[in-house]
Amino acid sequence: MGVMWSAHMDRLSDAALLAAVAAADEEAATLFVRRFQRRVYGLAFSITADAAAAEDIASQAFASAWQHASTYDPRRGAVSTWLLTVTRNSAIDSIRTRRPAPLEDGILLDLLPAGAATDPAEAAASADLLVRLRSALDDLPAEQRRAVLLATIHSRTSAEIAEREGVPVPTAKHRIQSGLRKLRAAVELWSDADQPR
Amino acid sequence: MTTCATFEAAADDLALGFSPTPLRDDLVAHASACAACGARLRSLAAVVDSLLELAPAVEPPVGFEARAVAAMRPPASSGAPRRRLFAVAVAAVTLAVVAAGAVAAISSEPAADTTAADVIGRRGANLGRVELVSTPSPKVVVLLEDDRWEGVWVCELEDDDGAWVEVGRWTADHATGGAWATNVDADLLDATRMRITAANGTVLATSDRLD
Repeated sequence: MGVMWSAHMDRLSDAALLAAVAAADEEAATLFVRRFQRRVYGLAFSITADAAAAEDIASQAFASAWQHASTYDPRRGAVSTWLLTVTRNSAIDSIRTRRPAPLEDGILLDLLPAGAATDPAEAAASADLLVRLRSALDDLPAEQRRAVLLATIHSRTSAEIAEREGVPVPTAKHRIQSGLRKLRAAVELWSDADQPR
Repeated sequence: MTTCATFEAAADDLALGFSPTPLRDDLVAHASACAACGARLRSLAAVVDSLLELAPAVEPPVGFEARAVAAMRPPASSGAPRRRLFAVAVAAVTLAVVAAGAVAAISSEPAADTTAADVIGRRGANLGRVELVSTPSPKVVVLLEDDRWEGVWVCELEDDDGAWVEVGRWTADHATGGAWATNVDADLLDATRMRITAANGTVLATSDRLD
């Protein structure tokens, strides 16, 4: 008998697909890349602003994901979040050795909707968090919102943010710190509110 | 030495991955030792990670998919046949639900570092397959097909003393088949059989002798 995952593999949840990737299933690897490549490459490009570097980083991220698939713990969050964190870590390692290209002014505002998850239950949960997160981001003062997005999605240091924003480094650090802490407080408030009574 | 006050001031950079070594090592050590600072770091890191979901999706260049998949292939080993399944298992219990009708069958010729057996239900039906894999790390992988599985199941291996050792449990939710894998202690690679029991101990399925 041969392995016959293929008939239904495209309907596997993200976690199940990652488990199949961890088991060295080639078809699963292809589907995994296909499912997440736009988001992984998109994040890599958001950090490097360089297509070639982004491609290297994205490819590296998928290789790391395959190697470390067994470390994914579904209790800690979605596969997409885990994979994007792997991508960001790869990107930070890369840009430490070279200065990233300047970010265009409009790029911070270009927050496209998150891609639809294949698993409806996962989509409902993740969409809910993202809606809430966007709402909390909208509540931040504009300069804190910019600083948080530059630091997280674009992985810019306080010094780089200070230079871009034309403010002292301590001011940039304070904006990042305040913004993250307000978001953290909002997330914790939701977590408490979501607890069963 | 890092105090809670200095940790507080540096936690954001740490969560963002910007802390240089050796400061990062000191901060991580403090977070490991201090429950409050550890919790603060985890919640900050969770916010940072969640914000990544808002990054724009961008179509990669043509050919990226093939290159990325190629980068995920293991290096070719000398002479050993490529194995399609069971190289790595998830650490946490994960049920991979295969939709109705899917048949996930294991190669009838497992590699040299693997023992395998069929899984037989209480009514004598062949429900799937179990494999014990030694590389890259010891694990058990169970593939089941075409049966109704609901509730909590317990996976046990029979050690060479004849004792049944629980290696994990998972929750099946109206699944009509599934895959499950977990790491096991190396000494269980000599296990003779696998069985699945309900949470109350009722034996639901037992494998043939693993060889």
